[in-house]
Amino acid sequence: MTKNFYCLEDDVNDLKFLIASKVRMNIIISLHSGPKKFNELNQITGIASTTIAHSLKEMEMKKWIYRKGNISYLTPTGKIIALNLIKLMKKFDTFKQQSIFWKNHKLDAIPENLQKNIDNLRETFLVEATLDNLDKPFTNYLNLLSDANKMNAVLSICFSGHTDAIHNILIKGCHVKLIVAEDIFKQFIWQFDPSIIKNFIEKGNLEIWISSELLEINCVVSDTFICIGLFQENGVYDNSRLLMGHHRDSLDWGNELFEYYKKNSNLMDTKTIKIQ
Amino acid sequence: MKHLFDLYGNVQEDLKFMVKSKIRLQIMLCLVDGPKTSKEIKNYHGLSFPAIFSNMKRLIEEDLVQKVDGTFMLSSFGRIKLYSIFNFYNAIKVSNNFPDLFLNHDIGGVPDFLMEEIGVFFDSNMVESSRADIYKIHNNFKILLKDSNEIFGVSPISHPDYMDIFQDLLHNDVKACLVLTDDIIKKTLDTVGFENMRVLMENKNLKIRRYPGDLNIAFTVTNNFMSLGFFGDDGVYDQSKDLISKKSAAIEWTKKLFDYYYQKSEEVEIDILVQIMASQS
Repeated sequence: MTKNFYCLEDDVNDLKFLIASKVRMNIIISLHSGPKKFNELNQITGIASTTIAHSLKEMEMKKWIYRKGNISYLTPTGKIIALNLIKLMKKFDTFKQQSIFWKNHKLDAIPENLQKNIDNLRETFLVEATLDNLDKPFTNYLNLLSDANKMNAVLSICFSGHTDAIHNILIKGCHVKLIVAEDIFKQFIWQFDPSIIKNFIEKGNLEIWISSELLEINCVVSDTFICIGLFQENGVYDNSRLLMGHHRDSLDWGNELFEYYKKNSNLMDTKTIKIQ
Repeated sequence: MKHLFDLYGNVQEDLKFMVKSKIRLQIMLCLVDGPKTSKEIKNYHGLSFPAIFSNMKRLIEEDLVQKVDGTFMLSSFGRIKLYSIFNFYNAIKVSNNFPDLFLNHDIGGVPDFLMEEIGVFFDSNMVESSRADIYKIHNNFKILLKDSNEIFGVSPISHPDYMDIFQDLLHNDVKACLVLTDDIIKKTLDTVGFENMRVLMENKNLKIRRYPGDLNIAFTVTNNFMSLGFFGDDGVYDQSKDLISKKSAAIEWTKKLFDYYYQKSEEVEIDILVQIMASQS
């Protein structure tokens, strides 16, 4: 990505031309929903006619807009710009809504392709620990997990409360797929009874994938919710904040993250567990 | 539409903050490769210390940059925001670089979720036919196709040359999966012959899928290149312009586009082929 990065500083004019102008942004947004008559643009945006006329002319010169009589349309180029602009706005809205979560946390564990679609997490909500309930994020998560029929999880940490919860949903017949690093797997095995793990794997209810790389994100996706936990920039896991959501786009995003890490992991078979 | 105005209202200051000051942008871009001291930033861009410090203060306040052990580094938050701006910049760049490909063309064949990733083509090429070489696209495509061992295509158009190339490739164990309209399936049967098609399909080297209705896009993606063409506003396929790339991001993008059409199409088994052949007589 960096190869083309430095063009940005010399070629920032189009970005400024659009993003820094409320008038042009409003016109592009208005035309994105369909062609508009001049007076419609005037009414919708509440911007003075002369200002609109001037901006339309500027964007016509850039070939983002064309006019037929009194009606303004987005050109195909204008449509591409409008779509990408809305995507950008949604990403920034995602950052803004949960800014405490995104700030001061490590985000390198989110692959580039999923960072590009971070707006899929726009409908999520943040659950934070409070002074009178430090365990609130984890408790809320456990409540959601207890009803899960399916669990795809990238786990960078392991503790007995969570291991017990996984055990409980496995007993209820939930299908669980876990991606963990080697050290976490060892701890998991130690907390769980290896023969029980083996049993669940043989029944086809449990898959454990061992990641060859260090995992710096926790992401659990069920059939109904997603839950994400991050590490702080200083390397400490932040157990006082979890991002949760139920929207289909967020769940798809989480499953894509799971698939990304699965590609670099090896499926644990029951023979290997015996050796551990 | 109101929700989009509200959305813009909510993020406009944050967006402006990222692009309005060239100095802030220069500082962030200079930190992409790693932490730097203020002296290194000064040398990098020739900025004055007062300009660096006043802007750095704002960047730190916004949690986009962190000061660690006397150096300045882009925070994860700063990096993801900068990359988002950069992705948008690439989309504008693609639109500006290939105006003739998009303007006066029907781009409706690319779904929105992939239009939002059009920036992957920032370093692609548009091959254009000229008076001196009206078959430039066609010949270029044939050369690229011959080096492929896995071909995925969506096409509402046909050319006799392609049939020959495809037959050669398929006999040499190249795998192909093509999403075609009924018209093109019939045309292919006419040219290649039912028996040849049957052998190719039974060998599993060729999979034909039937797209219900009209296609307004033509593209091919293989293991080593992608090629994409649009119809003009007049409804005629524009043979004079083709977007070509050998870059992995562009190939991945086109594979996603293929998946999109794959999901909307159905596999043609031999018995369906017989029906299609019978329907033409």
